[in-house]
Amino acid sequence: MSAHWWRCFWALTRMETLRMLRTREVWTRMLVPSLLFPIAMLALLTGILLVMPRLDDGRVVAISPDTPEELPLAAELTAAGWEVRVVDRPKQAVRSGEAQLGLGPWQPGAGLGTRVGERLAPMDAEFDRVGLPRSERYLWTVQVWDSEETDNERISELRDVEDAVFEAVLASHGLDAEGLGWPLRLVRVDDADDDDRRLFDDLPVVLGHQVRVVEVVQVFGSVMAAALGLQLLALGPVSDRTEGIFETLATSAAPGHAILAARGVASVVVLWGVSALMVVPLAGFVLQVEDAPFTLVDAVAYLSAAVVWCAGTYLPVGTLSRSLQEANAIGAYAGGLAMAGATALALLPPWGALVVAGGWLTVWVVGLGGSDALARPPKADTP
Amino acid sequence: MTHQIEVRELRKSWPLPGGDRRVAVDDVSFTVRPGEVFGLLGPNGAGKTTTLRMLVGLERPEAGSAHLAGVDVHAEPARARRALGYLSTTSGLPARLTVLEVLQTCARIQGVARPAEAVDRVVSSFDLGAFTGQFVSTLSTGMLQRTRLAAALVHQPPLLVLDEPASGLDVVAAEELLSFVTQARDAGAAVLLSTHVIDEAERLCDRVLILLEGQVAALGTPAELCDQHAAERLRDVFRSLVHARRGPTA
Repeated sequence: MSAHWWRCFWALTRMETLRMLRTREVWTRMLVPSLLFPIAMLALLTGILLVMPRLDDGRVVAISPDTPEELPLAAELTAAGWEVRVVDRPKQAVRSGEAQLGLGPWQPGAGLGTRVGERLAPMDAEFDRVGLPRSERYLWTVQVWDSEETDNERISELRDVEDAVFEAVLASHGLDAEGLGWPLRLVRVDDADDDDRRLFDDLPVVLGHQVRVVEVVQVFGSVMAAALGLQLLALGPVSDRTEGIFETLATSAAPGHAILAARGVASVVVLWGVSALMVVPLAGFVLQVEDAPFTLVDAVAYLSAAVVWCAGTYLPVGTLSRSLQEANAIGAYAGGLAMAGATALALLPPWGALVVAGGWLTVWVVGLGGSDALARPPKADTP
Repeated sequence: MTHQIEVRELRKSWPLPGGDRRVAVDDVSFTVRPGEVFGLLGPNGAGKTTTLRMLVGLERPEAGSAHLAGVDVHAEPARARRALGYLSTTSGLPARLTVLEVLQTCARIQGVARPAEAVDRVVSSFDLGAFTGQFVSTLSTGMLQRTRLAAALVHQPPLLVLDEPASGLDVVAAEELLSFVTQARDAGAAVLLSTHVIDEAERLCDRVLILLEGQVAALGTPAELCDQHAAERLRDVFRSLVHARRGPTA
């Protein structure tokens, strides 16, 4: 690429960025809402923290009568603020709303006793079961029935109780529970009609690993980038054709690749700024409240890749569409591709996602830059 | 390198419903020399704009070639256009840039060595000093056209292609704008001017080409064409050619 190419690229990148930032719709429909998002999220969080304790009035746990006597579960649950009811069918109790959580029935098997045994006689081959799935190492397993409304919140509380139960059992043997993990296997039994939940249960199988927090953040970032980019990069450039700006550029001495590369880079800059206002606070929030195995740098890298991917996907729509109708029609498909592709980038390592997205944008810049795309005359929308 | 516009045997047709094609430009050839204003005349639909679009590389011809300053515009478009200043009724400027930003950008992408000096020159030449900080969207029609011409001339191109440059302007603004065309010609530029205002062409153009139904109907100086058709004015020549082409019932 010659010095003239770079001169054109920088001049046009500056021009395109200025134009986008001076587009009223970018501010009124994108940047201002984006600026409000962190504030709204903070308000929502405050609201949740203030309101949730007041809503927390259903703390009834139904326990089946076959609860092992060795486990001081009822006492621990009571100490944790639960009202304990012993019922024959905990599942029914949860379904009828009588209880928010049900525990039982219990099945004997390898479990807690084994773990206690490991601590009592770690050298005993009979108990040397470390390496097996946790559920196989416990003496009992229990069905945990949870209502849809309470979802995982109750389970989380139950886990705290179970910790205490386990510690109490170990303490009765004079042992320290540190480093031993869960004493009970909690089996979340879903409603048979709940297809959505089953879908998400299957997701780890499809992905090959548990759904990671970074992937959830990436879904959010991709949806944001794809939705905002559709307006800015796919539909907006139609007016550039109808107003003759494409023609002015196409009859200048600027190489086609430089024109499109400049549009691509300017799009990435503006779209990244808008998307980051929403996604980065969210990622930061998640990192604060969750012990997530990723950093803010990872989140920013994935967001950047998503934005570059979206810019690459929308570049041909904005460049080739001769009318708003065409842009809308192609844009609908491109929006889906932008969202799906940008989300799928989270399956790659951050650097890999950036390389793939950059390659995608480059392919379109090279392909369109060598074509007559900018020179196409506008077409009137048909009623 | 000869700074001239050269068109050789250009041909272009458009598809029609039913599979047929309508020939828009058929075997058109001409050359515009340095220091010459060359008029491209014709009624609506004669093929003027299609010819110009092929000349500047916006359309690919089915046959023939177009060279700007000796460079094939379809083989090396960016290089060929460095010598070109182009203004058409359909070309536009970004509305949300100031006049100064537009001129600076144009100077840079046209490869001007000293953009600031070039911008100062056209701002002064086109009397745009009071408007440089104004957004393009806020300019009047006359000022906008003046800005567009300044943008087309900021790199002092030796070749100028103008498609209906005075379209939509009032008389005073049109005369001012056309005076810039003669200035460019006097400075040695080769100017191709497409217009349907015959009197304007007769006054400005050194030679004219009359295009009818995509074909060259006449080519020469206005005086030559008047002599050939025993007419006093170029508009009479134009009228007789159009009537002859359309037949006695027209």
